[in-house]
Amino acid sequence: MDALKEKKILVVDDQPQLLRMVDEILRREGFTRIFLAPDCARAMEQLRAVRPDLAVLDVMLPDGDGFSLLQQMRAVSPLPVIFLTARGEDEDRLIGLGMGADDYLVKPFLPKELTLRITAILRRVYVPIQQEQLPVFALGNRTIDLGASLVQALDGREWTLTAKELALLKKLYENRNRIVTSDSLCQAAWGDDLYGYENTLMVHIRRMREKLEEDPSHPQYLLTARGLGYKLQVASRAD
Amino acid sequence: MIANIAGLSIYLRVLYDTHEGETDFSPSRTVRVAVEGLVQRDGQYQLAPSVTKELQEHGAWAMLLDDRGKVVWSLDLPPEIPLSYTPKEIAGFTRYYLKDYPVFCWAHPDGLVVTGYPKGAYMRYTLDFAESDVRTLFQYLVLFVIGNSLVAILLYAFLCWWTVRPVRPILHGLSCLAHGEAVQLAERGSLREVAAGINAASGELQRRDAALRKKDEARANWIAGISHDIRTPLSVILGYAGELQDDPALPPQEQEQAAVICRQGIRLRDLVSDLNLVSRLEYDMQPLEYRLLRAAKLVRRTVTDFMNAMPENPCGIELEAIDESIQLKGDERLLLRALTNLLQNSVLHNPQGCAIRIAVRREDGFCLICVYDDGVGADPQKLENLLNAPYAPKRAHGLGLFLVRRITEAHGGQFIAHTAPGQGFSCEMKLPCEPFIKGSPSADPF
Repeated sequence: MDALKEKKILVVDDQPQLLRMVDEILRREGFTRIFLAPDCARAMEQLRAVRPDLAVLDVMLPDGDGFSLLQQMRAVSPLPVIFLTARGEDEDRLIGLGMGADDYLVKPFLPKELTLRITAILRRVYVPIQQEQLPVFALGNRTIDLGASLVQALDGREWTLTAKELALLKKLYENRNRIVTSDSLCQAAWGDDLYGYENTLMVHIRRMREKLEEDPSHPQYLLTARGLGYKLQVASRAD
Repeated sequence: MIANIAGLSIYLRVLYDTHEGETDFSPSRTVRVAVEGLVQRDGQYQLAPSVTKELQEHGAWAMLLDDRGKVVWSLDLPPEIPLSYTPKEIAGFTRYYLKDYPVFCWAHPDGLVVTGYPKGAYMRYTLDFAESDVRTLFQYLVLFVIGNSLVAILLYAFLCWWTVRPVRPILHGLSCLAHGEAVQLAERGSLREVAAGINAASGELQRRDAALRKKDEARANWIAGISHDIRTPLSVILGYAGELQDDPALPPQEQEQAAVICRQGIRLRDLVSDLNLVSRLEYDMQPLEYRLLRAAKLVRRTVTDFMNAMPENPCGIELEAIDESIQLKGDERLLLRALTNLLQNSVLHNPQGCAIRIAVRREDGFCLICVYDDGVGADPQKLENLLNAPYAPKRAHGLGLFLVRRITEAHGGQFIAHTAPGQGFSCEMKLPCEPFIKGSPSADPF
């Protein structure tokens, strides 16, 4: 994971204070190779000179806008790009994403929001595929291996997960410790929203509880958020 | 119509005259009076003096023919009138003229009384009708009246059209003016000045409209510019405050202070983006991205996002009476924002906690998204101000509910809110809904 911190990041913004702040945030997070540019011209120079692995671009720049800068950069390098926009208007976002930006962040943002997005994109782009295995995690006394669709108890009992159960559990795990709406769960498992699947979803959840919970009628991990959906409560662990 | 009425009245008049003629001094009446007034006394015929006088006034003469055609009595008989007639001669004059004198006859017990008038005093003419002709005459009369009425109506329509013709463009111009559309009328004809006046009024209205729009646009752009300019410094503030908040080297008290700066910075951020959105909605600069949405799904997503973002919120949120079948056309992001504002409103004003209930139901063809809480409520007057003019002088502040109202109205809906101190808050977004076409959840989910 630390290899990601070795990646070169180019930050382009016309506000020197903001540049300095982003620089500090990223350094504190462990990134060391950070390059700063206050305008499009300097950004292109840096791009050719240092070949950054990711760029953070402001939309409004003194010698052009971020979108045309993205086009120029893409002509040279396919690097991933995050937009910082102070406008927060839909048009900007859509144009930005339509042109192939990887993400955007509306100013003002919290430091954590920026670093999380940067690491997420870096991981997606640069971490080799074989490392991107489906996770194995523990729920109380049971270990769940999503890659093998297997639930194992400490006492040696085993359960296999069906395809639908796996799809539901993956969705819940991706959003662990957060409520996931029944609609999103149905979308993940059946490609359709909740309408018409209420009972089916309930049946699947009950079967999953039989595999995941010590006491399925008093669930501790796969919790119901009444009227909304479900939540997978996973003990916080370095992940 | 007028021609019809005139025709009818002439006809009635003639009838009346004819009838009236029998009591008046008409010759046919006089001859009858003469018959009554001519009596035989002592072998001599005598005419009543009144009748004699009447005849003489008209310069008329009279005679009585007996059954053999002989004149047995006469009055002022002109010399050229013979004193004896054959039946053929009698038949010849009865209805017409005798020696060019117009004559009128009437039967007398002793024969036939004949009165004659000066030549040229009357014209005698007899009409003969075939009976069938008289019968069809009525049908023709009806057809004539109908035809006439038709012509009259057409004539009326034509006259109306013809008189209104020059006024029509003026009327059109006035209605355009009332709708605020630009008007340019041709200035000619008798109504030239009216057209010129309307053109001038339209020009002035358009000019003012454009000026107003320009002003509105300038104001919205100004607000957008300010909110843009606030964002970058706010980023720096939030950035460093966020760092300090998480800095383990700092004493807990200072970390807490940094957290306060962070929270207030986030409030400022929300306020700025609310302000920007309100001004864009206010001046019609926010295009709505309409999509078909399921109300229940939207509500679940909003509440879930809200609870995930604020897991420590002291209020319980319960979804009740959710009608899954309601669909509506709307801008998902804006509706999400409105609904989030309602939840935030309840949570913010009830730090001690409250129960929030949410319902989605159909009412009068509208979709009702309701958020109720049983919290502290507020003064109804304050709510009124918040909904109508949040930044009027000396009034309540806050954009949250005002924004909800604006978003609801931009969707063609209505925002209804009630509150009273200690009575909680009741908010209903009434939105136009779409007919639900039930999908086919036929694929076997097992």
